[in-house]
Amino acid sequence: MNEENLLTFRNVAFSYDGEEGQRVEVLKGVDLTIAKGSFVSVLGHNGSGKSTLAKLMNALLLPESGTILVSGADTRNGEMIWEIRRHVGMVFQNPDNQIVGATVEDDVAFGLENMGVDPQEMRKRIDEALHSVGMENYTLAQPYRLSGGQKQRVAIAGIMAMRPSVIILDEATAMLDPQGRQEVMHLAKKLNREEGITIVNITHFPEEAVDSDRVIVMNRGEVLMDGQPGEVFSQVERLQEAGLDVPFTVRVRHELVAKGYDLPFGLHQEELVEHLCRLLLTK
Amino acid sequence: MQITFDQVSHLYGKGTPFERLALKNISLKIPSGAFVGIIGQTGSGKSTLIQHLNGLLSPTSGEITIGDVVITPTKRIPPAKRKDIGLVFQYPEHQLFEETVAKDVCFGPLNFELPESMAESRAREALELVGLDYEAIKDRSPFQLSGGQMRRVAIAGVLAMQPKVLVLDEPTAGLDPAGRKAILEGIHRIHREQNLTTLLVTHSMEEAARYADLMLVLAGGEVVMQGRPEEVFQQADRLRDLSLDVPQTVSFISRINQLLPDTARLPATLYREEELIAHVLKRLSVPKEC
Repeated sequence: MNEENLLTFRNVAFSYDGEEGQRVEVLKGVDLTIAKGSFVSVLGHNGSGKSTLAKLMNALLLPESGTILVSGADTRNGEMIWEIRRHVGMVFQNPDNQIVGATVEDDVAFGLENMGVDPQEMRKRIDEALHSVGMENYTLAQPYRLSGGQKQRVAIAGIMAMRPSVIILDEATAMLDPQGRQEVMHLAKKLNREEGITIVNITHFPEEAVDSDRVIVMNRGEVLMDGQPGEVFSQVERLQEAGLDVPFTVRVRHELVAKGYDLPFGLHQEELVEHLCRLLLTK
Repeated sequence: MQITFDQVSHLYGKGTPFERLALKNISLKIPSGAFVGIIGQTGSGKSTLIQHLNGLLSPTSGEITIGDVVITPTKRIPPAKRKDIGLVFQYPEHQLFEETVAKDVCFGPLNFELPESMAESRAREALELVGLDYEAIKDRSPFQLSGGQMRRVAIAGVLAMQPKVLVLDEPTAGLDPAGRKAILEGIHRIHREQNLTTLLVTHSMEEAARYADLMLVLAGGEVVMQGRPEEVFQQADRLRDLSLDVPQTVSFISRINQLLPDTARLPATLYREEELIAHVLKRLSVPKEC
């Protein structure tokens, strides 16, 4: 299997039948590769094709034309489908829609049971997975009693137990309170850094993308921008035209620069604070 | 409509092993015409609180007054008054069910026995209030619309009842920034034009900061803070202890003020982004006297 590019999209198109029988194009010839071990954020307006992109990555959807390779395996190869789905785990928006077990450990065991993993091995993997998401003290807890952030962490543990290469977060923080959002983002970063898991974070919150290795911006079924966070977020007007937002710090600086003040570009609050203080004091 | 809660408690599953006190002795007062931001962690009691407003839940003890209606554990809100309180649930688009957008929006008014012609004119008005073109959308299936459009149709269904109190439970969850802004600006406009009393439950401190003139902070089934946004957001440490946050404007100002000399500090009340930027621009444009 190809080690470098974990996910490859070659000229991928996808569409569905609209209300009046017309074809609605969701993705139009998308080319991209995602490197092993990277942390990639995907931004885009509702209907831009972000979620379709995610569902194509683990063969929940198949491309209408073009090719998608997961570690070299074509997602259209029916024999590889379970292997692909084990490699590419997905966390969805609503935590309540993806919990199946009566206890936390049952829930984490679900995928392993389906795979027919040996009970002893299963025990080991469940403990490891719950430990990696910081939920080891909740083994026998009932999932419905957990907070939103904890439920999402359990969902991630279920994926980790399958020993995946990639975790796709499909707006996994959209329904969470500020603490839950922080928990999930913190965990995604940790799994990326410490366990080498590739993360694809699909989100509407530009702040979540600031520390990514790479930001992909989708617009009307095409890749509008693709680069490091600094390159992407410095194009404020272009993002706003695509119905998107930029991080607070970038927005404030943009407004001040537009009025002729000289402030260097930065993604983090601390940089703007420092430069703005200097400006305020020297004025 | 003025809303008051006087020592309201709500107990779920009374007498069962799952008994849980979801609201503890809540007392609060919301003046008529206020735009209230309700924040609190998941499980803090926000949804339980708002379900008391239109009779979906009855208090276990205490008394709620909405306008001239009094709700007690034994006295429910009269059916005819329920239409005054419009409740938009989380993901309201999941409740769309009719064949066409117009039928879906008319459902409420027809259910309250309004004549068809009047229901239709209400639907037209409500859809236009949320920024949708009635003629273009009325015959379409609600299920063929985009997520943002579906959300607006669902909100229009509530507005068609011409409520006096509008309660929204995270109306922007899952929408993109442009969609969030469109929905909230629309709600804020309707709030002003129709002189509604509006309660907005949100996880976004930015949304609360932008629109609310009164804030309620819930934790563990109690109202732990209430007041004007600037008063609530001043207590950043307390909010963080409650696993909440302050808007980015507030943390930004407090960080800047740590670095500036006392005389040059920014006022901590600039929690709205435009006001903050306008203030900074003004400061930068005025030559310093010293």
